[in-house]
Amino acid sequence: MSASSPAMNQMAAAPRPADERIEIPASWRIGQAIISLVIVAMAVYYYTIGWKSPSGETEANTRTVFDATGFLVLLGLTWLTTPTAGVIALTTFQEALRRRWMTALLAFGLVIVALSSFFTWMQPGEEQKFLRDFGLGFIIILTILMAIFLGVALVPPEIERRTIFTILSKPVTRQEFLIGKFLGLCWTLFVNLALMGLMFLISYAIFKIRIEKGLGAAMSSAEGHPGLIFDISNITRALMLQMGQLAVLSALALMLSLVVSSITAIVFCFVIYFGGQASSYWEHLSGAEKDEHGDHVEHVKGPIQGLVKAAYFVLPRLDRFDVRERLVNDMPVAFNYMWKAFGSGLTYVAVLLAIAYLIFSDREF
Amino acid sequence: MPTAETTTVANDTAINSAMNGAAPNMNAESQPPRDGAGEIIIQTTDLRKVYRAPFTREGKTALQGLTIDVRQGEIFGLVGPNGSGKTTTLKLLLGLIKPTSGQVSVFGRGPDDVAVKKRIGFLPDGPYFYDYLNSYEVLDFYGRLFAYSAEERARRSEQMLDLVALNKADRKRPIRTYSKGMMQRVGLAQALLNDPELLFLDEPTTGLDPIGARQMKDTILNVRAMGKTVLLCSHLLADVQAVCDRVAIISEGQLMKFGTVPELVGPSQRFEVFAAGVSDGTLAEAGQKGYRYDRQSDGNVAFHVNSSEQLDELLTFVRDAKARTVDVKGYSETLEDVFIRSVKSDGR
Amino acid sequence: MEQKKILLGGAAVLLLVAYNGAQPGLRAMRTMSPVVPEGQLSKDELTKVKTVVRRQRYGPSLEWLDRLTNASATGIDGTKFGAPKLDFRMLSSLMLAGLASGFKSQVANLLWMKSDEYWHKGMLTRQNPIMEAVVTLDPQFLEAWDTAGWHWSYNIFADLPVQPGLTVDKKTPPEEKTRRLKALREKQDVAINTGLDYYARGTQMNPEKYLLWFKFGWTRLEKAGLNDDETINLYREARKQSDARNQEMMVPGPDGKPQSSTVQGLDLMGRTIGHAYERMPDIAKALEMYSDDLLRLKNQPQKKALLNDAGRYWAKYSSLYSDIADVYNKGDAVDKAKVKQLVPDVEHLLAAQAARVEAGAIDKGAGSQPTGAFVSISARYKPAWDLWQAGKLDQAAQLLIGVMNCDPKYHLQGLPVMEKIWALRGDAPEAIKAEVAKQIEYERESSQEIGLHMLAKIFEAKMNEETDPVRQKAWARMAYEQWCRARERDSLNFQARRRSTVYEDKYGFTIPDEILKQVADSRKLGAVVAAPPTLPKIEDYVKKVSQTPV
Repeated sequence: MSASSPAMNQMAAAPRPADERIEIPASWRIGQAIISLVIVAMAVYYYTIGWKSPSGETEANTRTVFDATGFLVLLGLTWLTTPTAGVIALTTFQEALRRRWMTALLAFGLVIVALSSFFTWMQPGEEQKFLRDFGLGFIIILTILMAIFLGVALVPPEIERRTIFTILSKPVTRQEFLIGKFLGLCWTLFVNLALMGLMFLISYAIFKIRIEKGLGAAMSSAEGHPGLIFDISNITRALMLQMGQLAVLSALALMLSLVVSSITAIVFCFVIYFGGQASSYWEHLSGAEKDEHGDHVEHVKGPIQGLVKAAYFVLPRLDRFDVRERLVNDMPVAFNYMWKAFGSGLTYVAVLLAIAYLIFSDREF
Repeated sequence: MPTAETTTVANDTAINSAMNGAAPNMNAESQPPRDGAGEIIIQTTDLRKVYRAPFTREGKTALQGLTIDVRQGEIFGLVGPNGSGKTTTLKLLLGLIKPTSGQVSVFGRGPDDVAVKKRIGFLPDGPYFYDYLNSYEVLDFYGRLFAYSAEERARRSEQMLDLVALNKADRKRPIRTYSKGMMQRVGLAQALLNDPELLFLDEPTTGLDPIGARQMKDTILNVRAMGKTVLLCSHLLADVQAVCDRVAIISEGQLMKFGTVPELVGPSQRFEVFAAGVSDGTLAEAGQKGYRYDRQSDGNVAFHVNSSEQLDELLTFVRDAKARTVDVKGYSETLEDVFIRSVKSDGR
Repeated sequence: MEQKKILLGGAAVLLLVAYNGAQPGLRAMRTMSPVVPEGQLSKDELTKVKTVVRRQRYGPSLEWLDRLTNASATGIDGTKFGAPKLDFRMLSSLMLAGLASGFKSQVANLLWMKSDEYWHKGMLTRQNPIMEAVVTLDPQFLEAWDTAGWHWSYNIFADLPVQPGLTVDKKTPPEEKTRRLKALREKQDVAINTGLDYYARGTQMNPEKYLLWFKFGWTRLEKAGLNDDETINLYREARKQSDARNQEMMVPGPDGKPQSSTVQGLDLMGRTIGHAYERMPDIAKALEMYSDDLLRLKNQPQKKALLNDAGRYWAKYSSLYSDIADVYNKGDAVDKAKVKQLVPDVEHLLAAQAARVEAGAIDKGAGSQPTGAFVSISARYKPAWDLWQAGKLDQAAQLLIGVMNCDPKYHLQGLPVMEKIWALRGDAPEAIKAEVAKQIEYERESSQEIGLHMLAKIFEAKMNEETDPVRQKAWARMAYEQWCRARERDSLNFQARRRSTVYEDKYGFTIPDEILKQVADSRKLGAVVAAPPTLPKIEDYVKKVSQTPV
C-alpha cells in the first residue's frame, strides 16, 4: 500500500471542484429541451388534428383538457431525468439483462414467437387472425411477467444487499434513484418488447406472404382484405400500447415492492392486473356506462355498486391497452385512441410514482 | 478483568509497528491535529432515534441524546458494543435515516443534502455491489454518479484500485467471485473515489486477514495525513486506539465517554519493578509494607504498584534493601479497559 | 419537507381524479359507437348499430361473462331450439388462468381441439356443449360458428335415423313406423333449427363477414328447404360483405362434408341468388338478377331483348343454335343463301348470338355463366312464366310439361332445321342423329327440377284460387305429386321434401307408386325424367281425393 502513496499525493493535489451541486451538463439540458419540444409538438398535433380519427369513430373523438395530463406527465418525467437518474436507469437495464431467468424468458419468447405460425393449425381457416391473437397475446403475457417480476425486484434487493447505502451516500437523491430505477425497467421492457415484436412481425410477414402466395398478393389490400402494411402498422400500434401497459405495471410493481414483501407484491400485481384487465366490466357493472341512447345503465345496486365503483375508480384501466380484438377484426387502431390510452396510463404512472416517492422518501434503511 | 498482561504487551507492539509502518507520511508537518485543533465539520446535538415498528406505539430506542462533534483532519472513533447505536449514528450522519429529534449537521448542512454527498465517502459494513460487474465497472458506475467524464472515471478507478492494492488479475473478474477482503477493498476504493473530505468507515477491518487489516489501518492514517477527516465505527478497540485521535464510546444509545485517546486512557496506572538479589527478609518487609510481589522463575522478584507515588516509594525501598533494580515497566490503561469499565458502570 | 410531501400527495390525488376524468365512459370510447339520438333509428337499424358496436370493441372485454350468464336465456328470435347447455367441466386451471388474463380466444382454441377430438371419436353429442362454449368465448371464431351450424344441421340430422327408438325397418309395425317417422322428423327439425340458430347468432356477432351469412342462407335453403325471400335476403347480406368475392370458400359437397373451393373474384353470391330465384321459382326475378345485376344490362333493354331472343332460338333450335350462326358466317354466298332459306331471320339470330357473346365476355369472361343461365331459363321457362303471369295457368302447365318431356310440339321445334344445318356443315348423318338425341336428352334432363317446382307452384296457385274444398284438395294433390316427383328425382332437394311433407301432414297424402316406378325406371335409362308425361286432369284428381276423407 505504500506503493500507492504517490497516487494519493497526486490526488490530494488535484484541485477540488468549486461547485457544490452536481451541475447538469448543458448538452443534457439541450437534449431534455428537444424531447420536451417533441412532446409539446405531439400535444399540439393531438389537439389540432390527431384527436379526430380518420375512421370516423365518434366516441373517442372528444378532446378534453384531461387528455393533456399525459403530456404534462411526460414533460415532468423528462425534466426529472437527470444524468444521475440516467446512470441508475442504465445500470438497472444492465443488471436486468444479466439475470439468467430474464434471458431465458426472452430466448423462450423469441423462439415461440418465431415459431408462432406453426401453432396456427389450432384454428384452421382463421390462421392470420389466430397468429395475430396468439403472437401478440404471448408477447403481452411474457412482457407482463417480466414487468412484474423485475419490478418487484428493483429496490428491495438493493436494500437487502445494502448497495443502496453506497448509492445514496453518493450525490444521488432518492427521487433520482426511484425515477432511474423506473426508467431502467421501462427501457429493459421496451428492449424486450421490441425484440419480440420485431421477431413476431418478421414471422407474421413471412407467414402472410407464404399464405397469400407472394409478396405482391400479401401487400395488396382490398376491402375486407387488408394488406401487409396495414397489418404491420396495426400490430406495431398494439405493441406500442402494450408498452403503456408495461409502464403502468412497472410503476405498480415498484410502488408495491416498497410497501410489502416481494411475494405479496407479486400477488397484488397479478390481482391488480387481472382486475385492471376487467375494468370495462367494472364500469359496466358500476353503471358508469351509457347505452346507445346516452342513458346510464345500472346493473348492481347498493353497497356493492359503491364497491365496484371504487374498484373502477382506483384500478388501472389496463384493458385499454389491449387492442387484440380490434386487430383480429382488421380494424385500424387510431391515434386518438392510442393517445387517450397512453395519456391515462401515464397519469396513472404518475400517481403510482408519487406514492412510491412518498413512501421511499421516508424509508429508513 | 480477564486481560492477560502478555496480550497487552503484544498489542502495544502492534501499535508501535503500525505507527512505524505509516511513518513515511507521518512527518512533522502532517502531525494529526489534536483536541480543539480543527474546525467542526460534524455536529450532532441531542440526537435521538427511536425505531418504530409499523402500526405500533412503542419503539426501540437506538440513540438517546447523542451530542458529539467531529473536527476537520482528525480520525474520530465511534465505539460501542453491538447494538449500541454506532451504525444508527452513521446512518443518521449519512441521511439514510432521519432523527426522531435533535440535529445533525455535516459541513454545516443537512445530511441528505446532495452537496454534502459530493464531499464524503462511505464504506458500509460488509459492502456488496452489483455482482455481475467487475471492479472497474463498479467504480465506473460510482464515478458516473459524480458525473465524472469517461477519462476521469477510468483514471480514478485505476488509481483507487492501486491504492487499495487489489490484484490486477482480479480487477476484471465479476465481483461475485471476490473474497470478503477483496470486496472490502473495492468498498474502500468506491468510498475514496471522489477524493472525499470526510470518510465514513463502518467496521473497516472486519473480515480482513491480519495483513489486510494492517493495510487498512495504514490507509486510514494515510488519508488523515492528507488532511482528510475520518469517522470510524468499530468494535475492534485496539484498532480504534491505534489510529483514532478522538473517541466516543456509546452504549445502549448513550454517550459514555468522549475525548482524545490520552484523555480517556490517562497516564500509566500500573508499574512493575523487577529486582535481583532480594532477600527473604526484604520480601517479608515488603509484605508488611503492602507491596504485592511474586518471585520469577529466574529468581528475580516482580513488585506491583498502582500509582506513581507508590513507585517512588518502592524504588527507594528496593534501593534501601540493597537489592538491584533490573527493570521497570509502566502500563497505561487500554481503551478496552476504559470501554469495559464505562459499559459496566452503566449498570451491566 | 413536510409541505412538499403534502403537495405531492395532493398532486397524486388530483392526478387520480384526472385519470378518471380523462375518459368518461371507457366502454363507450372503446366501442367507438356512433352516438345515436333516440328515435332516429328504427328498431332493426338500432339492432344493427348495436351489433356493429359489439364488433368494434377495443380490448378484451369481459362480455363473454355476460354471455355466459345469459347463455341459458332466449335465443335470437326469442326461441331457443334445443341449444346445448354450456359445459365448462373440461376447463383446466390453466384455461381459467388464460380466461382471467384475457386469453379467451386461446382457451376457445383449446376447447375447439377438444371438440375436434370428440368428433373424431364419433361422440357427436359430447361435442355440442363444447362448441357452445367455444362460440361463447370467441364469438369471432367463424369456423366454430360454421362448424357448429353444420354439425347440427348435417351430422346430427343424419345421425338421428339410427338412434334407438327412431329406427325404422321392414319389421316395424305400420303404426309404430308412423309414430317413429313423425318423432324423427320433429327431432330432425330441432337439429336443423339449432344449426340455423348458430348461423343466426354467428351472423349477429360477425355481420361483416360473408361466410356465415352465406352458410345461413345455404343451410336454410339446402337443408331446411326454405326457398323464400328470407333466404334470398341472407344471400344478399352475404353478397354485400367485402370479403364475399375474394376468399376461399367452404361449401358442403355432395357428401355433406365441406369442400374447399377458391372463388377468387367471382360474384358467386350473385349467382347463388339467381339460382335460388330459379328454383323458387321466380323466373322474372332470376332473369332480373342475371341481366340487371350480374350482367349490368339494367338500362339496356335492347341487349336484354336480344338475349331473350337468343333464348327463343335456343328453345327452337336447341342449345347449339349458334351453329347456325357459325355455318352462316363461315360459309360462302351459296351456303349463306341456304341458311337464309332454312332460317329466314338468320340476321337477327346473328345479332342475338353476338349480344350473347358480348354479355358473356364482361369481367374477363365472368359474364359467361350468368349469360348462359339467362339464355337457358329464357328458353325453357320464360314462356310458361309469362303465360302464368298472364293468368293462363293451364296453358303454362301444358307448356312446362311439353318442355320437360321435350315434346316437339312445345320445345325444339326447329331440330329438323338444325339437322339440315349440320348436314350443310358436312357432319355425318350418324353424328347428326346422335347429336339430335343428345340435345333432346339434355333439354329433358336440365328442365326437370325447375319445371317441376314451377308446375307445383302453378297447381298451388290454382288451389289457392279454388273455393270448393274437394277441388282444392285435388289441386293440392296435384301440387303434392309434383313436389314428390322433384323429391324422388333428387334426394337432396330439401325444398321439394319440405313442400311435400306439408301436404302429407295436412291431407295424409302418400306418394303414388307409379311416380316411384317412373323415376326408378327412368333412372336406369340415364337422365332422370320425373315429369308427368301428360298434363294431369283435375277431374281425375277430384275422383282420387274423393275416395279418401278430407
